[in-house]
Amino acid sequence: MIKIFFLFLLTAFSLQTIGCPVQLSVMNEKGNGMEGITVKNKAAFLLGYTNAQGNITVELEEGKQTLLFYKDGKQILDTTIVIHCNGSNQFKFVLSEKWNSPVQLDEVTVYSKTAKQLMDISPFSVQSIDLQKEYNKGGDVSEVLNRASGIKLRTDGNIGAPVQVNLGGLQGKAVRIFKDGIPVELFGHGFNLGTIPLNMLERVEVYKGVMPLYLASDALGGGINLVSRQEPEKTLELSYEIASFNTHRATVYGLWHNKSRKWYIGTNSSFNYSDNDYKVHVPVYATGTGVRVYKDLRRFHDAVRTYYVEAFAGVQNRKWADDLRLTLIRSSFYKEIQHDGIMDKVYGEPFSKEQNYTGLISYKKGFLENRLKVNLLGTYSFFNTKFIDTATVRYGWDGELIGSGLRRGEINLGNNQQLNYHFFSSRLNISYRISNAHTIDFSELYYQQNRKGSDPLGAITAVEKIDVLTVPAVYRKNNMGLGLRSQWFNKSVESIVALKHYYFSTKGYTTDNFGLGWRSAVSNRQPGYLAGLRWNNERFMAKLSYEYANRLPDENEIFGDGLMTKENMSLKPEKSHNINLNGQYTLQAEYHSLTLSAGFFYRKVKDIIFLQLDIPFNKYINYERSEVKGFEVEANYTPHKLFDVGFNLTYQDVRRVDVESIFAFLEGSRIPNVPFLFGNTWLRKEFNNLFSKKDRVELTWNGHYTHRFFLYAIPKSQEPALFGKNEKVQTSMIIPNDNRLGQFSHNIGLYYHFPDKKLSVSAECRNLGNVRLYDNFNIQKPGRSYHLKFVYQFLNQNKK
Amino acid sequence: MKRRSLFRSLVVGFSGLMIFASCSKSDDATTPPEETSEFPKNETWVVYAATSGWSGGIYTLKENKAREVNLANLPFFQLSSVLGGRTLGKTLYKVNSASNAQGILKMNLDASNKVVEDKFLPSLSTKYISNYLVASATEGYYWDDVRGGLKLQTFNPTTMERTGEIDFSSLSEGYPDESAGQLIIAKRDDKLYVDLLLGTLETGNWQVTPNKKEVAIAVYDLTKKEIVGVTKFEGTTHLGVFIDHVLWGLDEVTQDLYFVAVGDMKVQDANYSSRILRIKKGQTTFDQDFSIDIKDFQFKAEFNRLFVYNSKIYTTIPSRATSYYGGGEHGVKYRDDIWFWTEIDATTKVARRLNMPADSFYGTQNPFYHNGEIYFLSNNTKEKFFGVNQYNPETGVVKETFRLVESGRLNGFNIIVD
Repeated sequence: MIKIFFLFLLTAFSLQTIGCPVQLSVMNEKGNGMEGITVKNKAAFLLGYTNAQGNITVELEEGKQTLLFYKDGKQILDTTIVIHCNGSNQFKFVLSEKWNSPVQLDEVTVYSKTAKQLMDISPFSVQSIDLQKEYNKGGDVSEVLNRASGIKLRTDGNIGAPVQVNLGGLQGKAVRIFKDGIPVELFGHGFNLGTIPLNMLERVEVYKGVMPLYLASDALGGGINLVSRQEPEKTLELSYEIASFNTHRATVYGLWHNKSRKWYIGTNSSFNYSDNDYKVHVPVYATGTGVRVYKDLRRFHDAVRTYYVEAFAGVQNRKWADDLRLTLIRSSFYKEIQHDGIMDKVYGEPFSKEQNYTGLISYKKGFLENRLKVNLLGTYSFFNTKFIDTATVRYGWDGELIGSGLRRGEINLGNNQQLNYHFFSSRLNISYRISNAHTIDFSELYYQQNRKGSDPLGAITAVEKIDVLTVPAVYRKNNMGLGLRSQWFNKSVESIVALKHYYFSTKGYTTDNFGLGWRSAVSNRQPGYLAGLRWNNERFMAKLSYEYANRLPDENEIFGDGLMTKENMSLKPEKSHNINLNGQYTLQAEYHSLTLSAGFFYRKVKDIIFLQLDIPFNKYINYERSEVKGFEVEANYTPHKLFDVGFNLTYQDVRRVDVESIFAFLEGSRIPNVPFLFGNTWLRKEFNNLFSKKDRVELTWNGHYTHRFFLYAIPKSQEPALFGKNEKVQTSMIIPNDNRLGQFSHNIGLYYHFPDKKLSVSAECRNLGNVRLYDNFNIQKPGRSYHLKFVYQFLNQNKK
Repeated sequence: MKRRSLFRSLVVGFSGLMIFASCSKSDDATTPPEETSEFPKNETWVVYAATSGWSGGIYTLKENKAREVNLANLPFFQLSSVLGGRTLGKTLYKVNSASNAQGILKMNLDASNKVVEDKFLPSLSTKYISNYLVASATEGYYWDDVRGGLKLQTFNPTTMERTGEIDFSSLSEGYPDESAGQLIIAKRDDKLYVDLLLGTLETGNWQVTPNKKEVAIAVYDLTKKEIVGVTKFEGTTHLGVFIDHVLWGLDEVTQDLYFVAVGDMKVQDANYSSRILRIKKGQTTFDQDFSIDIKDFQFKAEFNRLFVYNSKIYTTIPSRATSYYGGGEHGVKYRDDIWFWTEIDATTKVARRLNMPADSFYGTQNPFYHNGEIYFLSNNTKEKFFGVNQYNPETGVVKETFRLVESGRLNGFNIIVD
């Protein structure tokens, strides 16, 4: 198989290519080169900036190409050129001083949609969610993601609560999350799906099943790449949101560059605070009889406070670098812990705290007239985390003390844990255009984690009395990928083939039954491969992609936590065969459009890493196999350019296969605790010039539905029909567990953009029906909440 | 026209998928196990079956009792943690609610003989430590650390309401972790026998380290409502292990009370190894002349099951040395098929291995006596046996009662008689 693949690669090298280098010269009327002119393509993708001589070399595809030129944030030219790859492709532009008069951009949205389309036409099953129009929306990125098709985010509460992503039937660690291609965990809890305000991101890329080569990821079931906001022009934007439950969020985004665009500085920072004191329906016990009654009470120990300060500076348009950027990040995360995993036990004092310092350096350069592109990125992070659970008292849901002088620790046996983590990560992407239609890509992601800490109340070996956490633990991961991108039949077909190699090694501390401990090491390597094919014409698009994916076990799964979970040195990577088939039909007319899309996905997963619960120790083992068959459909209709309506629906049949004979009665049963039917619907209406000329009012409504699902396995023969009553099994462990067939919630929003485009104000009401919502069993999410948000642009006023 | 056709095809295709997806599954014809006249018709079997993650269900079999039982099509009461249960007449009790909320759950059989939830007595504790005893329909006891480690709680097993507490605080010696009844609550006649543990829970341990290397039982007179005294036994430590795991037994023939001291299961000190102890009929103090030491049979190991009938002790003894905390030597694990059911004569201390599959200790239920037979549960992976054997103590004959077929592990079994 591998031989055939290499043979194919070698054959492909001799074939033709994608685009060709084009030299542009921008002059003023006096014939002097104009430095610092921003050049974009029609999709608003930044191609680069002119140097001191007014020159820039860009890569453009053969045929007609539209170019947009900007100076000081204002568009000064919109022109079309014709590229012949066999020709010299040198173009000279002489510009007058007319750019002093502003150019009105009426349809910035056209650019973002086109960018989304460009992402969408890759051979992978990928969805790009453009956030540039969402900056006036409240909340965090998880809410926008939850409205996309095929993806379901599950959280334990409000801001700061853990968020789990379900994508194509797989969830948890099977889905990897990145920020600009770097594993998101390196940025600390201050930057995660439950805390990231929308204003910090340009877009989110959701890879459903097959991961692109440049991420070099060991994701089993797809991944999410959060792309940081990168404005091409000088910008300063502040946003502030105030919401129910004493919630405050603020962001600041700023970019400043010199005239010649040789250097720039900026920031992309956020702050979140919430008491998270929303009401929950919880048991209260009569002191005398112990009789349980349920009441709606406010959470009292769930506050969260995070800040994330990112400052960056860089040089660009140099001979030796297209872009060299240094980023420094300081973030902090504080979170109180209110309850256990089923909201049965209530806690009043434990908390976790994290301080994070990260440095990041990135280098981009095109060589050989841009045929060879190199992108190198390195990060170093230092984390200091604390988990404190030392209380000797106990609380009831009303916040009152119900016991004192008890054993230390409300959660387990007490923790006073302090851990120091050192992370190092690097990513290398090399892309070489070998001929007209073929490009070869290489990617490598290296990741190292060193952990050392202490917990005087934690795991201590019986004989040597060693605090297990004081022994350094090391985890290393190295993923590589080599692939070939090709275009065929006048670009109507695009193909990708790639090989991947995964490797990890780890060292840690293990103990035997007699309490003796020693350091152990383990390593493993796995191959992976993928292929993708896309065909499209003006209205139809079809994609087929496949990946043999691996998910490497992490350090916690191998060594456990030294307390409740025991090590398993023979843990193997999870493996999955992922297949995606996607189709899309687009009908585009002058003022209305219709887009229908559908995706079918199949996963065959084995060696699923499973936490085997036991007393006194749990252990991760390779245990289950599963099969996922599912589809997602989405329709979006825009009968008028100021109105659109749509829906999406996802059904995923996630079932156990090849079950061990002792449990064969569960063969074919659904993997429990995975939502299998969910969807969204939305309406958006826009009004222009409503209160004054050039103002804009937007009104949105969206609804979200999740069908009931079960917490524990039920034999297939006893499953209730999809919309039928559950009559065969007496269970209370259904989500939701109140006889509803599913959960429906809806939100409304009103957004006003002032005519000067500097200020926008938005008001939203989430969970308008104030229904009880649960993503995880018994853990109630917030009820109705109100949000008010202000966004103010100081500089870049071209943005809407 | 073509475009319309294609669009229509897509719509029809999606609709078809939706309909396909929403179709209910055709109910597989349930094939009840063959009815056999050898099973008493007035008996209902209560089967606690667990999956690999300990979740599972409680099943009842009455008309459909069989030697081989497949649970795939039988109705069940689903539990997040299946560790067996106890019965009082037709009422079932178990530790924690169906979803594992801390407390004691009462269940009944409905008209169609299905298990249904009745009432729940919550514990205030945030930990899995609420031991209990149901003595009668109106008399029950439980332990709840939040209400006080030395205060044994009383409740009404019918209404499942707390009714008061018995205070053992006078026995305190001021140690950080003190409890009465945390792991042993036994009743004989009008007296309660509860484990008294005075010590410190050391970092990283599950078991409280006692201040003295001994075990102690506090005896409480329910008629006089006073503490009779505290009886102690040296040379071993730690009575009982976990709350779902009862390590005491009353010989209904001799009325002698037996207890298991498991020792420190982490250290497994040979000088304080696991022992079976006794308080004889009419006595309130340990029989200092009686103890059965695990070292006489296997070490490192401990006794982890106990049933006594007519001065015969039924317990498990492992074929290999092993440790609860980390497995054993030469790759042996505590949950391997190493636990052999054994009969030990309390008088001669002679042990005899019973002819039935060894157990793996996934289920912790003790054997029980019913209609002249003693029933033993075994989960044996190698022999693919997950079922019950019955042993006639008079004839010595062992017979397989039933086995689960492709239906998980058997973590509990009760017989309810109409």
